[in-house]
Amino acid sequence: MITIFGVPSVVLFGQLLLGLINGAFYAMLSLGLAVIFGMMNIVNFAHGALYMMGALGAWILLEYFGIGYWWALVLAPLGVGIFGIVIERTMLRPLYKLDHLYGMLLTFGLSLIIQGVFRDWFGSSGQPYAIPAALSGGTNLGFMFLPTYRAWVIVASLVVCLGTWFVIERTKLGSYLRAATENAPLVQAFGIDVPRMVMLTFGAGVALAALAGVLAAPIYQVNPLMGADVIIVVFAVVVIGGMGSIMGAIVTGFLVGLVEGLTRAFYPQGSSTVVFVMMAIVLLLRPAGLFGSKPEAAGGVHVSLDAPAPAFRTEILLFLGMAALLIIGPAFVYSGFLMKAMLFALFACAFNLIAGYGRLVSFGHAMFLGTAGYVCGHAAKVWGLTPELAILTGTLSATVLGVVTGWLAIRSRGIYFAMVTLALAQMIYFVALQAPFTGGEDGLQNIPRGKLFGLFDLNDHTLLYGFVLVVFLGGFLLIAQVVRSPFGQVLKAIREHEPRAQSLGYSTDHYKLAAFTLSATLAGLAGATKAVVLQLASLTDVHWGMSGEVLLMTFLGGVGTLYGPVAGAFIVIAMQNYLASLGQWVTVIHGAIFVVCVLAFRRGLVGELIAFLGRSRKPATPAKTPQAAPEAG
Amino acid sequence: MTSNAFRKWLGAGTALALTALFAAAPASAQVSDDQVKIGVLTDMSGQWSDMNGPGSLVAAQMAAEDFGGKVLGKPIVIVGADHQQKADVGVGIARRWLENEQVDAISDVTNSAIALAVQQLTKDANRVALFSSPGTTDLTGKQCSPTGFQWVYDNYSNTVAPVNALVKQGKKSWYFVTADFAFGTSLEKIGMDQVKADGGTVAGSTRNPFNSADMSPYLLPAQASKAQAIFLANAGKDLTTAIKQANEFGIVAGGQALVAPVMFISDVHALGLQTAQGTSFVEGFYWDQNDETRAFAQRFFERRKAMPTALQAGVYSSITHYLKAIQAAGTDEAKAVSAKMRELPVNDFFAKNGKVREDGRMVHDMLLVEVKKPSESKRPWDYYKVLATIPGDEAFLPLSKSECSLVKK
Repeated sequence: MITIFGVPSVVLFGQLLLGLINGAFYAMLSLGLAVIFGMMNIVNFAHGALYMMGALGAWILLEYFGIGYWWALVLAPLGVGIFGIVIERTMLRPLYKLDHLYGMLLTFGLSLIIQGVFRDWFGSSGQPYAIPAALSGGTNLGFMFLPTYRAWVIVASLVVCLGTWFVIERTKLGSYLRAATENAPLVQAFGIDVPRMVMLTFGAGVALAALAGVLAAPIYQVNPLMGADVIIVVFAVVVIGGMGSIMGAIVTGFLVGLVEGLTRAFYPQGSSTVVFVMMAIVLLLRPAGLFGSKPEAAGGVHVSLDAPAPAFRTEILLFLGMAALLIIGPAFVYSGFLMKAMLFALFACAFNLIAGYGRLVSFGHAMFLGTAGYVCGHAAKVWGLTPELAILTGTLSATVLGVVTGWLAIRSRGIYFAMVTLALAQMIYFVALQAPFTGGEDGLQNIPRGKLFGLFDLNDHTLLYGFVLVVFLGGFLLIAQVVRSPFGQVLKAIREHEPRAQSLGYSTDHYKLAAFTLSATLAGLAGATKAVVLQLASLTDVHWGMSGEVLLMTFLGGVGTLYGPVAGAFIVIAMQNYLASLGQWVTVIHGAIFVVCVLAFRRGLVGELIAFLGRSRKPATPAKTPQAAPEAG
Repeated sequence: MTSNAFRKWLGAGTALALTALFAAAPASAQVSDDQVKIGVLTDMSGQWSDMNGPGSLVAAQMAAEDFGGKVLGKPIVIVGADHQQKADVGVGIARRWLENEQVDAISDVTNSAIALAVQQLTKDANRVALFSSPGTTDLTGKQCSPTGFQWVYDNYSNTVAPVNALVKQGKKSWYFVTADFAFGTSLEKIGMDQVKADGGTVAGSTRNPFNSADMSPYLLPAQASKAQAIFLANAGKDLTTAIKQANEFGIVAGGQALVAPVMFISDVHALGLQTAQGTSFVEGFYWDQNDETRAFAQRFFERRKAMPTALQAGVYSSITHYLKAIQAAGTDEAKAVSAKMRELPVNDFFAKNGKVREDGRMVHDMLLVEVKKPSESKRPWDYYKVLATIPGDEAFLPLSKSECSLVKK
């Protein structure tokens, strides 16, 4: 047996071939995503869920209608494509003129709904789907055994991908599509029905995802969770390839698959992280992606979420009111719930600092929460530090991570920024999974609470609660002060119009990085304290679902308001606690909240409340332009 | 004073008053909070929800109903929660149950990592833990608890017999494909130790991430190693994926034996007989064994539309035994009840001649089963051929080797 760098050639070529097959799926999925993004500037977070629908669709066709694989290849994508068209017409169309982030949030919510509903209907053990008889069996290639079906997958996806590329780049229809992305009104003036074309294109992109699902059904377990984690990798592939490039998506998909396969042969633990490392490198050297030519996604109209600032006295009263409520809270509500809610509220406020006030919506904030939690837990458990030192250590680790990731991410804006932070967080997730000290799936358990300053035993519930209260109120006050400070004003100026701020002489990148780092630090503070309170740090804290949750909390409460994230956090944690018996319906509810908030409730609960109060206070205001709105509270 | 402290004082005061009132009565039954509350902590929606999940909750409810709904005159309350396979959710729920919701016993607890955390919590809070699903032997070993019990199986009972049998048949070289968390690593260690003890060799091992959609990258080195047996230290979806793909890649056709120590009837159902046929493993319970098991299974089927897995049947059995112990002890105080649980023999449809040892291990006969060929199966869920019964004392780790501090050597 020949060995190459210590790995038997059998294994190396085998892994490369498997990687190529995975790459085929990545290529098809990222192709659909690139087509949708190219046409509509919408990052379709629901792509994974639609892929799953394709696979489950094929299974349903077989199970209930006796329709086999070959028909399913046509019917399932058709069905899911029609579903996609319905979504486009009803929910996505109103969002085109808005900031592209809303499209991403809406599709994220949709993915939660779709996955939750299907999980309820079909369970998650997976449904068997047999490989079609014509494609079963395999050939022994000498260096590995290649199942015929997997070879078919490579061929089929190549044909579909190249066919799609051909249609878009070389046919008249494709030229209409490309023209419409450049200048839709002009194309419409030529008499071409652009909205209908967009709708059909979305349907086609969705159908591509569903087709990938049908192809996947015989080899992976058909289950409602199959799309959830592949979507993040596909995002990374699209970013590496270049967001608007069709050929880029195809080539990069296969390339990433090959690189993953190669990694798996030599260093298996790194195989899930390598795509994000690739992404980080590409972004450093070629920010537009390997094949990207599309400039930064043009921002849509930013709905100013600012509300008139309440008087200083009102602010003090509000703050004291909140503090008072929290002090007497434990008499009525389980203190454990209140502590958890406060810490998540701090996390959400930290997130809001850059997302609301800085318009840097990060999809990876969980990495700060989780990393700080692990470091703090390790410091308390293994190094034996007292809680305040352990928490400090954890927070500092989040600061360092914030500086590093911020420096990498600040180069991008808008959706790119979101996707970069998402991918970086995913890298941290996999590091946490592999690192021995985190305990991996088991989590870091039995973190001691210890004695605060060596004096106060935090195992006493009252002392612990008091400590958490102080941390939360302190963090909150800090954020409130920063927002009102000159630093905060500059941030707002950058958010409103960055070139203008630059022309005033502000080094905007530095301000953004400082804000990002501050946000990371406070998120880390929340995470480290949480580790001490719950005596546990686990992978959930670094998973992208957690980033989605803090987004949910902030969005629900009101992005850009001070108390919005607090309200949002309390509501979401309450839902988790008290609706736990509903199981996966909680996921569906979360998704529904996202959708409703994006479509109707964009200012969030507190934001809408402030707007309502503002309107009722001054009934005869002259019309205000969005840009001229005064500072937010 | 916090709400909890106030309630404790109120409770204590009432208890004192009541005791004084009934001082003349014989040793009065004392049930905390006037109810016996059992919490079923399980995976309701994730990759193990079919072998536990809602079925475990149904089994618990059946146990409460069959007992009459009351013990020592107080109602039995069953609550359930979904930990979603996440350590923080599981620990949070357990903590809330113990600190705030007067739960007396926690049952099932799928997921070895969460189980270890729950063991610690119940130990500190002096409540009972009735583990049906987790496999790690640490629960009755290093991390044993006077009030914690492991009921159905553990990684040892399911590994030793098959490995023994296969090495004797001539499978000397083994490759391990291991799920990368507490359950998998514990299973792998036991497997490797047994292989070496029997005179076999370990050809290599690979760790796969928990919840992998594609197991082929981990099966590939196993195939390349040409080991005679491939030990799949996985369960649930990862296991069924691995078996499916092993078939697809010609691993089974190539003559390598697939060993799946921790497999349940729900997995066979998910795979289908066509793919699963011929696999053999150790099970704690089979619904179609005798009339008693069939009677239980039929009633379960009416509510769940699926036959009970060993884990779900174990939930029923462990809760019934717990209730019997409360009855016998005259109280639901954890240590007294636990003592009774160890004293009383376990004799129900689930286990004949079962007994609970000092380390919390419920020892009962296990079954070595093989999955039938499609042609051999006469009706739905008719999946197993019972090859042999392994007596309890042989199946489980002997007390002399236990690392539990409660075991007097």
